[in-house]
This record gives sequence, C-alpha cells and structure tokens, in this order.
Amino acid sequence: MTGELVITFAAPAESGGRDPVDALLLEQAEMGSYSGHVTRGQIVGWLRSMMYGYEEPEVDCGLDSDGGVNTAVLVYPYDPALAYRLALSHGELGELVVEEVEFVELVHLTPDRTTADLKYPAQAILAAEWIGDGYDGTGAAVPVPAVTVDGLEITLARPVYGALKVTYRVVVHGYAVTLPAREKALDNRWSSVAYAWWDGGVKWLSLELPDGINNMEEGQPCGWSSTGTARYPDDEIRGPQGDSASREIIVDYCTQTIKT
Amino acid sequence: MNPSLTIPFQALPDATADRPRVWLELEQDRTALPVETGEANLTDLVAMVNLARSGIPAATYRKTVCPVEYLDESTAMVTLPILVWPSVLGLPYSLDGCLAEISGPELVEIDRDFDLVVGLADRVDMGLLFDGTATWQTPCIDRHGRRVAPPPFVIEDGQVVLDREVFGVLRMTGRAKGYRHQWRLEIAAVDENRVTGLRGSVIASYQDGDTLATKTLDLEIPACVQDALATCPDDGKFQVFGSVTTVERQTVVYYSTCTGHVLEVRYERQD
Repeated sequence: MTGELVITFAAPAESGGRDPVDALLLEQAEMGSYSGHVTRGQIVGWLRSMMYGYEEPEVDCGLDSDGGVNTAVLVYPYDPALAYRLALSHGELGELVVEEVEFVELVHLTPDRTTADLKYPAQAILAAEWIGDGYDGTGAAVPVPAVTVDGLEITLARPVYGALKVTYRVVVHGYAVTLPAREKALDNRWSSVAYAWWDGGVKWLSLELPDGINNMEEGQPCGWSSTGTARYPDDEIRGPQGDSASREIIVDYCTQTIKT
Repeated sequence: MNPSLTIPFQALPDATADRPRVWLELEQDRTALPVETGEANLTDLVAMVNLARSGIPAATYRKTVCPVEYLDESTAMVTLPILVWPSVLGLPYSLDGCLAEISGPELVEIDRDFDLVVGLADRVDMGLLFDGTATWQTPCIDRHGRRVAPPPFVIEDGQVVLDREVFGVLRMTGRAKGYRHQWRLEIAAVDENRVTGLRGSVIASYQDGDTLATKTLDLEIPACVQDALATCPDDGKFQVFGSVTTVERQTVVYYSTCTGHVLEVRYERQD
C-alpha cells in the first residue's frame, strides 16, 4: 500500500497552544513506622495486662475509632500564589494549613553537573556549604569549588564529586485526609487517589495505606486475627518413655537441649 | 495560516496488524494467604500464654492456616497458590516452578473490586480478563488542567480503552477469569542445617506470535513458613524443650520442634 500522509500544523485551539505546566509537588505524610504491626512494647503491655490486670495497650493500625484511615496530603506549590484545587477519589479533605518550613538537604554531586537539584521547590535558599572534600573523576581529592546561590539556583564553579548541605525555605500546604471504609466493597476498601489540578496541568498520587489493612476483616479489632489460629497439642504420644518419677532431667538453658 | 507537510509513504506489511494482542500475567493468590500467616499478632500471643499457663511450652504453638505441612519428621511441603491471567482463556502456556512442582490448572473466576487510575492516557492495562462495571470516582481532567466530559470507554482485552486521553479514577467491580495452580516445594532437613531464607519463583512462558515470551513472579513466602522451617529438627530427631515449674510440681514437656506435636508431658513432684 502506498499513499500520502498530510500533516497540517495548527496551534491546538482547546489548549491555547500552551504546553502543560508542572506547578507543584504532591506528597503523602509518612505513616507511623509501626502502623499495622504489633510491637514488642505492645506485647509486653499485653502480657502485663493478662498477668497483672494492667490496662490493655492499644495496637496502632492507622485506623480511627470509626474504622477510617487518617493520613495527610502535602502540596508544595512552586509558586505559593498558585491557584490550584485538590480533591480525593474517595474520602474527605480537611482544612488547608499553610506552613513555611526550613529544610536541610544533603545534595550529592557528580562531575557531570555544575548545579544542584533540590527535592522540594525552594522559595529561598538560605545557605549552601560543603560537607567533606571534593573528588575528581579519578577519585583524587581536589579543592571544593566555589558555590554561587542566585535566587533559587545553586551553581558550582566546576563539577566535582562531593556533598553539599543546602538549607532552604519551602512553603507547604497540608491537608488532613480521612478515608472511611467503603461499604460493600469486596477489597481495597480504603483506597484513594489525591489529585490536584490548576490552569495548565494535573497531578495525582495514589495514597498508601497502613500495612496489612487490606487483610483486615470487617469489625476485626486491630492487632488480632479474625479467627483463632492456635493448634493445641493433640493426643499423640511418642518419644521418651519410662517412669517419670525416677528421672532427673538437666536442660541446657541456652540450647534447651537435655544434658543428662 | 496553517502550513501543511506532505509525506509520501509505502506501508510495510504488518504481521501483527490482524493479530489479537497476546499477554499473560502472574499473580500470587493472596486470598489463600490470610493475615494469620503473617507476623505474630495478639491472638497468637494469647494462645501462647495459655499454652504456657497449662504447662506446655509456648514454642509448640503453630498457626493452623500456615501453608506448610510435614510429610514426615524430616520432610516439609510448602504449598502456595498462583494465579495466571492470560489474554484469552485457553492460551497455551507452561509454568516452571524452578525447584518446585506446579500442579493444575484450575479455572477460576474471582471477584475483584479496585481503583484504576487513568493517568492522562486513552487506554489502561488491567492485566487480567475482567467482566464487570467501571464507575468514575473523579471528574475527568485533561493535561492542561481543565475539567472535561468523561469520555466513553469500553472494557476489552484486559484493558480499559477510552475515546480520548484524560486523567480520572475508575472503580472497577466485577470478576476476573484465569487459572489457579499450586506451587509445591518439598524440603528435606539435612543433617543439622536449618532451612532459612527460603525463596521461590515461577516462570511462565507462552507464544506471542513468533516470539517465546516469558513472565517471572517472585513469591512471597509467609512468615509462618519461615518460622516453621527455621525450627525444623536435625534429621527428624526429636528434641526436648525446657520445663515449666509450678509451686507444687515440675512439668516437663517433650515435643517435636518440627511438627509442634506434644510427645509426652511429665509431672514431677517438687520435694
């Protein structure tokens, strides 16, 4: 088959001829490190409660008393005045809380670049200092180059291997998030996607849930199995025989093996 | 002015033009790995304390739903179910369980309920044959940040195919069709070596046109299997574990650390 492919150039009318604009960074606040896990401290607490009647400690599954997941979404707009909207595919957003925070970041530099990229959008760079020595491509120590901070850009006089400690100011928009369990859902009962859109683009973030939460059955208390799982000893009798009254057994405390 | 560029072309014969897309996905069947197979929880703790209180070492406690069984005192069998999602039922494929045997297949239809993110795309792979409904959970937004009308879409060939590219989230509710196999690994205790760091994987191969395609799945071995195998005895010999002393008598419990079975309980009077 032969033919002609005709390409007509025209600015897309509906986009106004503009490219999409990257204008913000979306992030989820970290879950508690032990969400969804029974910690040793909680086990000790439970032993205390079972043996001595102390109050039972609670296990943190990342759920509130209504069975919803609580977390937070953080928005880092490149321009603090950016007009954007944030929403969730499932769940509720709390009120906007605006904070200005100082971040300290260790930037690792390689000889293929003379600028430093920061993780978060800086509103102002407050300081940049070398940590340790600089090295060239052969691994030989070289003097660290001069660092110039111009607005939001960090430029090195020449490229080196090295680590630069940068202190900078960031504007963060925080939103509390509550994810109720979907009724009648077979699984993925709390799953949700946060998405932000503005004049020029859209970004989204699938929210992470506490460990093990999708394995929990409805109404199951946190930290417990839905069903008993103990296999209690059966009646099977094998192994050592003889008159127990005449036996003296010495067990090695460390290896738990019989010594005599 | 809208200038035009005209490019004459001669199309090459396309061997794949009329051929349906062929794919295959592997998944570990987590519905067969209930939460009880994971790390210890408070239910386990209470059961273990109750065992200890009744004079039986808590270490004899075993989770009943753990996918490991002992064929004899020195041989264990670990069984994990695998799901195969082919592009079409009846697609020829073979599975290699590496050191394990693979049994099956068994045709399955499994209820599924999940979010599908349409991330500025006009088609999204689900990786499984899906028969069900899809409902928009969000407004649709184009890449320039404007809300647009939700485009029509169809669910076909393991994909959601939309009329045009948008961002949005679909809630998928329905049934997935595929095959279930059992991955069975037999483990023999050798001398005094304990089995630890167990790994498993499955390799699927299938024909995609003239190409032999493969997919690999690394299996998650439940923590209870690792626990059970780590305490397996040396070559089937019974081991004795400790004693429990109460005020009036000493209780010695003999049990197999491999099976967890109590072998004998002795009560010795304290003089």
